[in-house]
Amino acid sequence: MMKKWFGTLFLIVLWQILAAITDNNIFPTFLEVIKAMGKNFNLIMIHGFYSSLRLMAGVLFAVIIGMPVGILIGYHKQLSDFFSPVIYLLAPIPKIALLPLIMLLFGIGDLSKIFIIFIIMLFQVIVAAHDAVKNIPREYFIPLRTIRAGHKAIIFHIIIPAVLPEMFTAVRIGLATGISVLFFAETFGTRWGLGFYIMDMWMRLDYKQMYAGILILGVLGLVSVTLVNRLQGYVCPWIPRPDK
Amino acid sequence: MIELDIQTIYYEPGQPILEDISFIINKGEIAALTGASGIGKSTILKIIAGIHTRYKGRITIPKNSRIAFISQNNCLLPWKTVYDNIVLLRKIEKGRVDKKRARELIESLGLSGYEKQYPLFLSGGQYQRAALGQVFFYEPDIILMDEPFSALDVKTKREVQDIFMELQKQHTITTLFVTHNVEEAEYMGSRILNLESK
Repeated sequence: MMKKWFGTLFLIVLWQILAAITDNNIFPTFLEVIKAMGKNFNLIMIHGFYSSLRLMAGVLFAVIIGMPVGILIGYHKQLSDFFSPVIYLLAPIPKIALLPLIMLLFGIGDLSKIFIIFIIMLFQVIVAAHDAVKNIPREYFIPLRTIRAGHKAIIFHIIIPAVLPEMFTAVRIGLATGISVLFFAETFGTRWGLGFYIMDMWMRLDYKQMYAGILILGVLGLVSVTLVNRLQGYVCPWIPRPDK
Repeated sequence: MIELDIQTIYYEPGQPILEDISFIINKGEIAALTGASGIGKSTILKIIAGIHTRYKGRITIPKNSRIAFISQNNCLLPWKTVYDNIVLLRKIEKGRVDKKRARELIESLGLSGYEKQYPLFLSGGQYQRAALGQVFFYEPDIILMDEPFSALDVKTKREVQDIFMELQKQHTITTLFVTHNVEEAEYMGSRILNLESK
């Protein structure tokens, strides 16, 4: 149990030592940052709460829309032939470059921030679901096809359960990108969110609070991945949990 | 009964993989289908199952026959427990299952206590017994098996073969199974059908 925290502990000790050696205002020690975090704890938590909501909403919408789309494209050969090239063409485009257009369409409020997370995660989810359907061993279908089971039975008994673990993997991978982009998206058009907090503290030259915000952003990533792993344990009990 | 009279089997039109195959398997009979690798043995099973439709010829099976198929690998769904896998085909067809009968079958297969286990955590013999459970719980008229016991060690193979033959005899199910193993074909099959290319 304790073993898995050794890496984090090592990083903290390294940070503390390096910051103490350099003795520079721009690079405060870990303990100074924690002390500063304690002073502003409630405020940072409120900022973290806003960031978490945006992140969750973006991820949730991406899975709700992306999973059926990916399944449909993966399952239906004609749809796959038609849409796969489009998906693979759009997937690698850096969505952050579309931010001005997204702001024009959805304003500078929460909607545009959630949408940018959504659009980044969406393609990962679609590609993962599509590939998962394509990779299902053909033998799984034989017993059901032999008894003339319909598409509904095949989708519910084979396709969806086969795709679910890949959804969790896509979300895990997407979360890191999502959090980075969320930081960027929260630097304008809002006064709430960890992105705003970090940039605000930077402008005020309060580096201890700035690092406190960065640390909480990291914690948000860790908590999100842990929650995704836990959820995977409940939803997909037939596969060993990635964190165990 | 299965009556098969096929002129050509193909994957691509104009490129036959097998020609002129005919045989009859009587009701309740176990027939072994042997032949060289890649000759098309599994494809014949898939034709009877209605999965492979690229052939010219005629297959006669009594109307409303219930067919079940056991593959060499991956015949159980990894995301379903042993119990859910065993009742799966019946549940899809009827919408509900006789739990008492399921429990009795699970007991006769020696899988009591493993009902909530996932296939990934079963031994080879348990896995194959669960696969047999799925098929027999469905109550088919015809069973098609594609090298069902090839991955098992000699002792376990004989155990599972005996379980299969006992259940098959009880329910008088017409069976066609593909095997590479002549000893298995002779032990289980009342007749051996050998495929040869021209």
